[in-house]
Amino acid sequence: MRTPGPAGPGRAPVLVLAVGEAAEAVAADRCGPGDRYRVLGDADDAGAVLDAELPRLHTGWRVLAVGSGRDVRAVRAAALARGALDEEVTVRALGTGDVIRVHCGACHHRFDARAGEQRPCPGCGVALVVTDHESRTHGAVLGAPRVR
Amino acid sequence: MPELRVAAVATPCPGVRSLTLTGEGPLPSYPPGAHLAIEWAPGRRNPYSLVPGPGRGLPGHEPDAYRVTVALRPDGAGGSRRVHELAPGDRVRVSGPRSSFPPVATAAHHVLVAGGIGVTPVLAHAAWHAFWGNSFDVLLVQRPGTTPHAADLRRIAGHRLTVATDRAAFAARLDPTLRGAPWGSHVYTCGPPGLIADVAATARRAHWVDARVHAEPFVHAPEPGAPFTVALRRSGREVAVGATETLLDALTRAGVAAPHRCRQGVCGECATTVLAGRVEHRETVLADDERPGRMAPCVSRAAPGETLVLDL
Repeated sequence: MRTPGPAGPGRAPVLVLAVGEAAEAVAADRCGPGDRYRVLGDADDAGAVLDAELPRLHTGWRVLAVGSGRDVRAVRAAALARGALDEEVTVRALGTGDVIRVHCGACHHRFDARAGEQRPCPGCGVALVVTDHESRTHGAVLGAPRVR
Repeated sequence: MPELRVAAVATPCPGVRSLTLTGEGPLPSYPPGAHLAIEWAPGRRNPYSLVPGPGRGLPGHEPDAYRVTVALRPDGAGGSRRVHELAPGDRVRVSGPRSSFPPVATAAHHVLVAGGIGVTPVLAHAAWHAFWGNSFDVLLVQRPGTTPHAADLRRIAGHRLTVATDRAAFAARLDPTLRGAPWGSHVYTCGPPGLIADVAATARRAHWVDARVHAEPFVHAPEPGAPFTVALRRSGREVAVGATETLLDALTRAGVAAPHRCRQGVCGECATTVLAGRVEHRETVLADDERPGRMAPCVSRAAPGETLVLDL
């Protein structure tokens, strides 16, 4: 049974995760009283930071990721993997988002590339085309083996 | 629909009857929160939550019996009266088990809330979490001596059980429980509609998203409404629906075989395509974006003054 209704008063507290220097100022602006704020040097640190932060939080908190498109996807995937629900995670992507994280469909290796690029996977050498098929769970787009 | 034998009956407290139903050997497994539908008149079935047995094995796994506990509703349609008439050796036709109130496997912590006879699925959840060592708390609202399985719940949940005997004491406990629940918690309520609404409102005040709030309402008689008419496009018929009957009852009376199961607006089995007319939605199963063009005839009715056209 569903139990929808009007939201409670006030704003939900937010854990703000900023990835990279460019994101710091934007994230600081979005951070209100009662929120928590962490700056990450690399999106790959998101898992460790969330593992340290989430035990301090209660249900009702939200997660906001600020950074490049590649980085906020990775932070969102790390939050979802730790039990966050889609509606509890917001991402604010900065910049043009040229560089994206690619998940090789053949060997599952991950690497950075540009949208539409064709190149061999650094992990298995299979020729890949970078698709626009995005996985929220993996925080990456699919690198599909090229059909010759 | 399989038949089961009534192996034992018990009266755990006044107005409440527990049945133990057995078949030929182990019965199909079921998840916590599942219910069994018992036929009490031809074509009429009521769902009752399955409660765990006394064994220490995996709850619901190939059980030797199905156990239900049913409160008598003298003003109900007749389902609970039929259950209270059953004696050992009688046979009943059942369907299920069917799961509509399962625990969320990925939850970091479970808050279970039960009011009155709503203790039955909560007991099943608690037994499951206790078996697996999951993190959980139980809040039970009861008038002293009126709730069956209170001792079972105490045995299973131990210090994790809090009992409140009035609404104010319950509210005083619920609010800090939800505000202090660890990240990744889910709350499950079984009880009267007022209790379910209170828990949902308290969760929203603590900024919980709806997807973390789960509830199973009691069986209750459908609310009456104004008479209306439905036109059935495929069969080319018109059916008049009286003030005190449901659309599903009117369809059945007219000989239209409409699919249905719970008759409570919970399971979604009867959801039917609406081709024209505005609907007064009373079910609790369709999402907002599923409601346009769909309705649950077991509880929902035409909006005042409307005639509905259904794809039946």
